[in-house]
Amino acid sequence: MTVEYLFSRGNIQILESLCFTETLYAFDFDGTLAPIVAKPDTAKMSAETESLFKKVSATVPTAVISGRSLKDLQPRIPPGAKYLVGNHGLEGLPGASAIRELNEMCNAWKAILNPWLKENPDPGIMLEDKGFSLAIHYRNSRAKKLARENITQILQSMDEHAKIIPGKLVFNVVPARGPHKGLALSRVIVHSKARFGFYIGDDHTDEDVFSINENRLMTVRVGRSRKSQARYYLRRQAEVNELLRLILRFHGVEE
Amino acid sequence: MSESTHFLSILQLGIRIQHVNQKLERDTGMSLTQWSLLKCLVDHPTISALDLADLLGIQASSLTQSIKRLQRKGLIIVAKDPLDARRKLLSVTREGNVRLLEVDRKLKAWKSSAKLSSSSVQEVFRDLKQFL
Repeated sequence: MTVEYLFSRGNIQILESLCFTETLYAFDFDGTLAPIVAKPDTAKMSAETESLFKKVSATVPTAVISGRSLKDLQPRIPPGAKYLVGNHGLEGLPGASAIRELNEMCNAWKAILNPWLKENPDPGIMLEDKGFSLAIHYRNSRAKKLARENITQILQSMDEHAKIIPGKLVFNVVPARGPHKGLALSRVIVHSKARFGFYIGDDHTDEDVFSINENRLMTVRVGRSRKSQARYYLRRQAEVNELLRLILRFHGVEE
Repeated sequence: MSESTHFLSILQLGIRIQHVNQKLERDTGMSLTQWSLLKCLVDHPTISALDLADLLGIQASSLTQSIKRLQRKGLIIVAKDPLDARRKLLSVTREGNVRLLEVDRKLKAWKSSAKLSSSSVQEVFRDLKQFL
């Protein structure tokens, strides 16, 4: 599989062609609009990204689709984005409401994981409760390999309703039958009445979008990966600003 | 409508399309086929040639020459699909979009003076379907 660098000359022209039709531009948050940080609570867009994103959102319809809970995501995004979708698609989808069953499922998983964390104390492992899904971060663990092995082991004991999605130094536990980012993006595109979709993300959970077999979608991964189903890639998160600038330029908007 | 009237309508439609095509090529350097391909491509960036043919209800081989001509004129770009090197992805260039808007304006101006209304075209097509 050959993924292509988005900013090569020919591919920039392809990106430009999206501005000739009604395109919805969708972004992941952590690792895409905001750099990955040791403490997820402190993640935020740089002042430049925020300013560019605001202008892009005022020019074209935008969406942010994140693994964070909607409550956590909202204050991190400047006003203007047409859609904010949290919890990997479980919250914020137009026409969908939160489902109590999913919340109960999540509580049952916590009942397994909390005692396990007490029995295996590692201050670098953190359980994040997002209401409808969980994230077990081990970015700050001093023994990352061991932490990963131990988390993998406990996650194997979870029930069949739990879908485990490994990420960058994190494991996401989401309802197996719940919506995912791919489904979320499809619904947002349909709701917005856009004719085409653009999506950029950096993580394993974004593969649910990248693997959509839909020719009305352009997919970009932050960071090259031969295993990814995304068609194009950016080398690093800092290049997202250039992407936002290009979208503005193609629509004839000055920075 | 009698059979002879049907054929006459089809013949008239064919002649009118020919006239529009000649006038369009003379005035804009773009044929009706090229114009309709560009129209379709604008709303389907990165579509594959095969999917485009499906969308238009024609065989992919019929598109080959038109795609080459549009590419030579710099109105579209043809790129290989990063996920499948056998597939070619088609997109309109800025120049292609500018030219398309110019042609759209001309066609709109002609529409008011042309006797061929969209309802009469639909009528002929409906009659044509009964024959085929």
